Amino acid sequence: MNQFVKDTLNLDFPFREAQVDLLCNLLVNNQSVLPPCLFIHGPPSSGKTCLVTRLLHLIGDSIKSSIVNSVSCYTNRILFELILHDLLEDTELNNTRCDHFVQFLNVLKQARIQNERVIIVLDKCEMLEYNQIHVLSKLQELIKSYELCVIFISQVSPTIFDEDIDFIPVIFEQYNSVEINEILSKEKPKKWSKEVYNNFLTVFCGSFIGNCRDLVELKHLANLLFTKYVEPIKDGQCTELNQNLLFRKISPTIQLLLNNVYLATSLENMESLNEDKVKFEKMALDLPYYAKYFLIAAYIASFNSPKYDRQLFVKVSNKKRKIKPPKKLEISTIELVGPKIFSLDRLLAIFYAIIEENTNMTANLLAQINTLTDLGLLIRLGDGKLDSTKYKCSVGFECVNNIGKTVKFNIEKYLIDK
Amino acid sequence: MEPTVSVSKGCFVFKGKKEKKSLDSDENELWLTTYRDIWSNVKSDLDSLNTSIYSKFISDTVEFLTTATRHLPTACLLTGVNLPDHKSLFDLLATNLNKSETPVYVATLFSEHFISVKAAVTNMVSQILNSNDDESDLDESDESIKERSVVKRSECTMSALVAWFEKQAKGTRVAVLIKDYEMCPPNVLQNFLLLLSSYIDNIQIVLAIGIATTISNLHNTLPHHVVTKLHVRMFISEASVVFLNNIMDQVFLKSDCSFYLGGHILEYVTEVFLFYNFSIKQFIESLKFCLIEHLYHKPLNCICVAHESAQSALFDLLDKNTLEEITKLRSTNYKLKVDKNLKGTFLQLVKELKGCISDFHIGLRILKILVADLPHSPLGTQLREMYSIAMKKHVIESAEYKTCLQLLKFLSKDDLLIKLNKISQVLKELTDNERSDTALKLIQTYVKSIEESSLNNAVVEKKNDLDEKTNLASVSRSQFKRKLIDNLKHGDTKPMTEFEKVRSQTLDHLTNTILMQFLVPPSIMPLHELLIFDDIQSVKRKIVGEDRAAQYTALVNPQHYIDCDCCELEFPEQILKTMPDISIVYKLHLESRFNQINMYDWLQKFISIVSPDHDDENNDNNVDPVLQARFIRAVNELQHLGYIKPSKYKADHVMRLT
Repeated sequence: MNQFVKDTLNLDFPFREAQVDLLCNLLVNNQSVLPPCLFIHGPPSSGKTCLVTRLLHLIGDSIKSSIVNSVSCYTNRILFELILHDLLEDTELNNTRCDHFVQFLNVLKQARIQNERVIIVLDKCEMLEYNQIHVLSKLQELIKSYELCVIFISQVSPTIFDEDIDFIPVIFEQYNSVEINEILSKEKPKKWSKEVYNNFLTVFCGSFIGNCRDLVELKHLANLLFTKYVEPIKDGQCTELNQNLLFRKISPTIQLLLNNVYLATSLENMESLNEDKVKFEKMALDLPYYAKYFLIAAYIASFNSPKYDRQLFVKVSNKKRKIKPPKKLEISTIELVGPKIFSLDRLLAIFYAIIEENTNMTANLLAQINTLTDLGLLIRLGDGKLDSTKYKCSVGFECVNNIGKTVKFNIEKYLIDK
Repeated sequence: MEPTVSVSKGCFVFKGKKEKKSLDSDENELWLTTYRDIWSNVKSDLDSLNTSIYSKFISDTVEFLTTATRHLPTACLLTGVNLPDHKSLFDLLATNLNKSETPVYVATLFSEHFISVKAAVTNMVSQILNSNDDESDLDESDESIKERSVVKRSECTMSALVAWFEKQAKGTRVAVLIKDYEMCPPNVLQNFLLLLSSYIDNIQIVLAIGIATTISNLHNTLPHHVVTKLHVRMFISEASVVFLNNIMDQVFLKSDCSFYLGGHILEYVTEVFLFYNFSIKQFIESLKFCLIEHLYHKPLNCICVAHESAQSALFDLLDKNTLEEITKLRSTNYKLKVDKNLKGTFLQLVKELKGCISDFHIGLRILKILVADLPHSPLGTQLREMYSIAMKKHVIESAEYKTCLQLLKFLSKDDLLIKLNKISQVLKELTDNERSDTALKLIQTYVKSIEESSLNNAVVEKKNDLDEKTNLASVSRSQFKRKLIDNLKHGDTKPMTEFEKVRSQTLDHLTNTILMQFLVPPSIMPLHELLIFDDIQSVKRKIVGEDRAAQYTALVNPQHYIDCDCCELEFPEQILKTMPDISIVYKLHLESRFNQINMYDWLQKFISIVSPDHDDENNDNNVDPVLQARFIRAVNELQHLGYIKPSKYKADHVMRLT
C-alpha cells in the first residue's frame, strides 16, 4: 500500500521524493498512530495542496478527510460546518448550528469520531485567526483520539505563528531551474517533436527564470510564447532546427512579456497587449480640467516645502512671477523622500495661484477634491472633519508631468529641490 | 386633521389632501404638458443614443463574460472618471447579461458592501438567491415563490450558493459586478477574490470590475498571487467627451428638437462638464432644469413651442398682462402694440423665427463640413462649439471665420470636391425648403466649375509690366528702393492657376450667398427670447452651487435672505444690533487681525453691540448670562460651520480657520 502510493505520487510530482516519503510514512501506515499536527509550507505553486489532495485521494478508503480552504472561512461557523459536513453523515449533523469550538468538539465526540482515522487539511491557514490555529493544532489531544491529524498548509513560514504550536514541519522547496525545465517539458504539445519543444524551453527558461519561479505562471507564459515561437515554422520561413533565426524572431515578444510577467494572465494574446497599452495610456489622463490642476497643485504641495510657496506664487509688483531659473532638477531626490502632507487651504491657495482663469469656489469645484481622493490619486489623512483634513498626493512625477503637458503647464518650473 | 391616538411622542405623517388638489390642477397647465412633451422626446432620443453608443462595449463584455472559462474570468471595464454615470452603465450591463442566451445571474456590489468579506459575500449571495427567474417559477405555487424570494441574510453563505447552483440548469453563470474598484478596501477585495476563485470548480463565476483610472491600478493594489487567479480582459469605453459630442449633435442641436439653447447657456453647461466632472448625467439634468426654467409659468414660451395649428387657439387664451409682455420684449424693438393685429404679427414672427432656426441648423452643418478639419481649427471641431459662436453673432463676420476662409483657400482640388459633395449630400436630404434647393443648385454649379478647372493653366494676369518698368526709373534713391522691394514681392507670387482662381471665387461666393443667408443668428431675430433659452444668470447659481459664497452672503448680509427692513446695510462692514447673533459674531471675528481670537474680548465686543446702553462700570466682571449664552451659542454655530476651532495652545482662545 505504502509503496504503491509513493510510486504513484513520485510519478506525478517529480522532484518531491523527500516530501512524499515523509508524508507517506506519517500518514499512510495503517496501524500507526497519526501525528497530531503537520505544517506544510513552501513558496507558491510548489505542489503543496495538489500533492496532499492527491495523497488523500489515494488513501481515501481507509480514512475520512476534509479539505478546507481557509479563505472562505470568514466566520467560525463556516469553518466548523465545512469540516463537519465533510466528516459526518447528514443524519449525524441534524442541521445543528455550530458557532463555538466546544460545540464543534461535542458534535465530533457524539459522532464517535475517535474510532476512525481522520485527516483535516486547512489550506492557506494564514487566513485563519490565531486562536483558531492554536486550538485546531491541539485537536488530537482535545478529542482524545490518536488517529486524528490536522494538516496546515501555508506559504507563510510557521515561525510567524506562536511557538507553542507543536507540529511536524514539511518543507516544499522552490524548484530549481533544471527541475522547472524538466517539469515544463511534460507539457509538450502533441503536434511538435520533442526536440523543437526542448529547444524552445532552453530559450524560454533562460529568459524567464530570473523573473519568475511560479510554475503556474511559467506554464501559462510558455503556452503563450510557444504558439508565437512556432509561427515561423508553420509559415515555412524557417526550419525546425534553425535555432538562431527562431530566437531572433521570438526575442521581441520575450522582451514584451518579460515586462508583463504576472500581468500577462490579463491578456489574451500579444496583439491585444500592444493595442491596449496605447489605449489605456490615453485614458490615464482623462480627467476634468480643474481636476488636472488640482492634481498638479497637490503634487507641488506635496513635494515642495511650504517655505518656498511665497517665493513661487506671490506676484511681485512688476507683475512678474519670481520663479527660480529652472535649474537642472534631480527629481529622484524629491521623489525619494516621498510626498509630504499638506492642508486643504494650501492646496486651494496653490490651485488658485497656478490656474490662469478666475473661477469661483463652487460646490462642484470642492467636490473634485473628493473625487480625486475616491480615485486614489490623493490620500486623505485625518478624520475627514472640517477642520483637520490633510492630504497627500499619491501619484508619481511621470503621471503629473503628462497631465501637465495636456494643459500646457510646465510643472518642472515649480519644483524646488533644496 | 384628526388627532392621533398614540401616546408616545413622534412624528406623524398626514397625507395632505389639499396639496393633492393643487397638484391636480397643475397637472393640466400648459407649461407642464409642453414640458412633458418636449422632455419625453428628448429622453427617448437620449436613451436610444445611449444604448447605441454603449452597444459595442456592452456586447463585447457580455460575450466575454458568457464564454470565457479559464481561471476566474474578469472583465475590467475602464470607464473613465465620470463616477456618477457608472451606475447607469452597470445597470445596462446587468440587464444585458440577464438577457443573454446562457442563463446568467447578476449581483452588483458597491464599495460600501466591502466593509468585510462577510458583508460582501452575504450581499452577493442574497442578491443572487433572491433574484426570481420568472420562467421557472411560474408553475410553482405562490408560497414557494415567497419562500424562495426571501432567503435569510444569515443563511447567505457560499455553501448555500453552491447548493443553489447545483439545482440550476447546466451552463448557468454567476456574474459579480464590482462597481467602484478604487473605493473598495484592497485587503477585503483581495480576500473576496481569493474566496471566489476557490469556488470556481463548483460554480461558474465571472467578474466585472469597474475601474475609473488605469488598469495598472489593479496590478498595484492586488498582489500577484491574486492576479494570477484572474483571467483579466480589458474593455475600454469611449471617452466621456465623445458622449457629450454625440448627445449634442444628435439630440439637442437638431432642428427637430423643440428646445433651443442659446450660445451662452450651451457654453456654460459644456464648461461645467469639461472642467468639473465629466458627468453626462449631471449635464442632462442641468439641461432639463433649463427647460423647466424656460417654460415654467411662461405661457408665451409654450405657445411658441406648440404646433402651428394649435398656436392660434392658445393665443386667444392669453390674458391682457401677458399680451403686454409681448410688447415689452427687447428683441421686437418695442414696435408691437396691443391691438387687433398683434396676434397675426406675433404668429408670423414666430413662424419666421422658426424658419430662421431651421436654416441656421442647415448652415451650421454646412459650416462644420467646411471648417471642422482645418489645421488649428479656428472655429473648433465640434458642432457645439460652432453653434455657440454662431448663435452669439454672425459667424461670417468673425475673425475666426476669416482665418478659416484663408485656410480653405489652400485646399487641394480633391479635398475641396469632397467637401462640396458632402454639403450637397446634406442639402439633398432636406425637403420642402426653397432656400436649400437653390443652395443645392449653386453647390452643383460650383462642383462643375471646379471639376472643369485645370491645375496647370495659369491665368494671364492683367499686369502692367510696362508701367512698372518705366517706374523703375524714378527719381530718388529711397523711392527706387521701395519700388524694387515691391517688384520683388510681385515677382514672388506665382501667377494663379485656373483652379486657384476658381477656388477662391467659389469660396467667396459660397460664403457671401449661402452661408450668409443660412447662418443668420436666430438670436437677433424678433421674439427670440421666447424660443431660445439663453438666460444664464437665472440658472447659473442653480446648476453649480456656490456654497461658500452663499454662506458668506448669509453671514455678512443677512437681509439678503431674511428680507427684513431692519438690517439694511449702508456699507458691507457695518454691524447692526438687529442682525442675527451668528452674523454679528461672524463679522466681529472678521475684524480680528490674528489667527487666534480671545474669547473674552470677543464677548465684550459682542455685548457692546447688542446692548450698547449697558454701564461698563457696574458689570465689570459679571456679564449678563443671557447675553453670554447667546454669544456662546453663536460661537458654537460658527464652530459647527467650520470657521473656527478650539485652540490647543491657549484655553481661552479659538483659532480662525478662514
